[in-house]
Amino acid sequence: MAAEDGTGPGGVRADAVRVSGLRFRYAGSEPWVVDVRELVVRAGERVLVTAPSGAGKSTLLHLLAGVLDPTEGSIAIDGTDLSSVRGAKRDALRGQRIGMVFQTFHLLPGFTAGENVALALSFGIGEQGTGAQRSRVSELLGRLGVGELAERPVDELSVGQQQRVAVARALACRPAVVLADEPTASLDPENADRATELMLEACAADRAALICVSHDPAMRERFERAGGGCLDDVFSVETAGVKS
Amino acid sequence: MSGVSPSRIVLRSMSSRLLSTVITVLTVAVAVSLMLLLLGLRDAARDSLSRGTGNMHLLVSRDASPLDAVLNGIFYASPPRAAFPMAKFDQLSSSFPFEWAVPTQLGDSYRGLRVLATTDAYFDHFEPVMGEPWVVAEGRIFEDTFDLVLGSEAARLTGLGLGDTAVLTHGFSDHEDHEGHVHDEYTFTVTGILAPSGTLHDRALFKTLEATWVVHAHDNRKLRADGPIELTKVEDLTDRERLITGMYARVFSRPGRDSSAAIQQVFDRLRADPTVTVAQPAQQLRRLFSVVGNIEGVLLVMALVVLVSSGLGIMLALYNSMAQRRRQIAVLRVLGASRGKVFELVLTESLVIGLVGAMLGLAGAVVGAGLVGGVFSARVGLDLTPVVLTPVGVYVALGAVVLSGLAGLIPALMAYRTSVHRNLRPMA
Repeated sequence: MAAEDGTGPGGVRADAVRVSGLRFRYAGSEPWVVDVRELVVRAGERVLVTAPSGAGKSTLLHLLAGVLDPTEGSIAIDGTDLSSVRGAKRDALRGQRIGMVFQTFHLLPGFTAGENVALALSFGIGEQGTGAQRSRVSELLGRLGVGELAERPVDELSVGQQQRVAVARALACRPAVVLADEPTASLDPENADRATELMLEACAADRAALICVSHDPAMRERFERAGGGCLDDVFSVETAGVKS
Repeated sequence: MSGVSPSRIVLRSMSSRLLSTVITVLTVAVAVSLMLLLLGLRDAARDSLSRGTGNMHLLVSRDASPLDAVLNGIFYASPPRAAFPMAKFDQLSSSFPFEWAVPTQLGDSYRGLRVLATTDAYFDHFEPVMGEPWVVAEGRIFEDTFDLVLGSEAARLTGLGLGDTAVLTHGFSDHEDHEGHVHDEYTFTVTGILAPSGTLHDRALFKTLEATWVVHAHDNRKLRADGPIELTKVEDLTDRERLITGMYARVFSRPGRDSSAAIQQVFDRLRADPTVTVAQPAQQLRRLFSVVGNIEGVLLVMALVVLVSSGLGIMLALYNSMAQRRRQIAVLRVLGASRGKVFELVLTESLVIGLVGAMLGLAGAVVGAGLVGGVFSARVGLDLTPVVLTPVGVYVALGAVVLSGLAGLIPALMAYRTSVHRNLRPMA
């Protein structure tokens, strides 16, 4: 379990996310969309990044997930510099070390809740239909309170249930970090409270770091209530370290 | 709960667009079936027509054209237009260097099957397939005037056996219930059944020339007489009543030497005789094939067009689905699938469509071949059952799979190039 949690050589755990001098702008456009001097998130830490809409929060997450390359600076995920791995290797790293939760969840239609989680295991770790995979899927869904829905097609689930499946999928491969992009924006306030709580608990149980971005002021309250740290506008702080 | 393998993703993707998938699979199947049937039919037609001329070099008749002579005289298409006296046969056969010559007469039928009147020489010299002489499976060849010998198929179709009797019908009536004139004064007895030769001759019944002369002479005399007359006998026949419609002949040739020059010489001399039509069956068949070949070419091109358009159909179906699938593909990439993997998934989908289509097409062609063969043997009396499971057939099926793969390349490339970042941005 410890090794899978990203324990580095000699048992010293690498930082889940280490960003330095990160800048990004689209080719040909003048202003920086993302400009983060330094950001370190350690294993098990959780941080809420709040910033107004259009400030580049989603772009930051895409940079951290390695689906977008920085214009300047470096990003290391679980001790691996993203710029040192490319192509299929980076895809594999993302599958194994990074989990993502989206505002609209992006569950694969036509597949059951269980299959959606199993898909992450198949692509991330390459396990297929093994007992270990099956037990991981039911453990996660159970922990998020949707265990009995494993065999149901995701299209038949309520929005709240889908959100839980999405969190379970993000955690499937025991990632070093979960990146959540407005994960509760599709939920009503009551469900959003519970969902935030569950997401934080689930990440804590797996010792996964959590970086959550939101423009919703209510999210900050939920996060603090649930024991998460907050960074108001990561783009304007010189050095951001987060206490858990 | 079972794991989710890539093949499962492909199947799920296909079943989520079931109608489109089924239609594209069917177009591939139809194209493959059509192609295989056409190819098979062509081969069957060539094979069937090439057999049957056997070791004959020349065919003499009084048909309108040499092609008619071959179609009527060897393939029993319709009764020859005109007859000529047996004396003409005797004259021709003695004045040319023939290895053998056989007189034939066509015009009667039994339950839609052709009856060929001839002599023992037909069985002794004419080989329906080169190098494969007739074999008598049961009984014997003619001993009496009203003996009847059956081709293997004729025996099977009529159910007649040795010792059974039959009366023949005037003309080629193709239907049992057709009211033809029945020569019911004369009864024939089955005395022999031939082994199969794999040619149209197997569907024929054989009788003696004398029998056919007597039957027809009697009919004519009855027409001319006022009252009832006595049965006509062989001894009563006049030379004008001894008519035949054809002559099979083989030009004498020394073993191992090319006989084409000798055949051509005899052919040219016979052609100078304005009272007969002479044909070199092999040449006529080549002509026939070249005419039919053009039609085949057109049909094959059409089948190819269907095949190519089925490929385009696959491409279009996948291409259209890409719009909805971009987000899905982006999600798979987030879950750790590489660009190569998503390329592979889409390509696999097109290959699966091609493979299922090709297999259905093969099955369809096999069923279709049976139907086509049945129709042809019932209507034309030719065994044209196409053989579809040939190496060429397998190549056609494989070609369809390859084509499907090619059709999947562009959509697969689109999947490969799908931007994760652009497709996972929160909706505006």
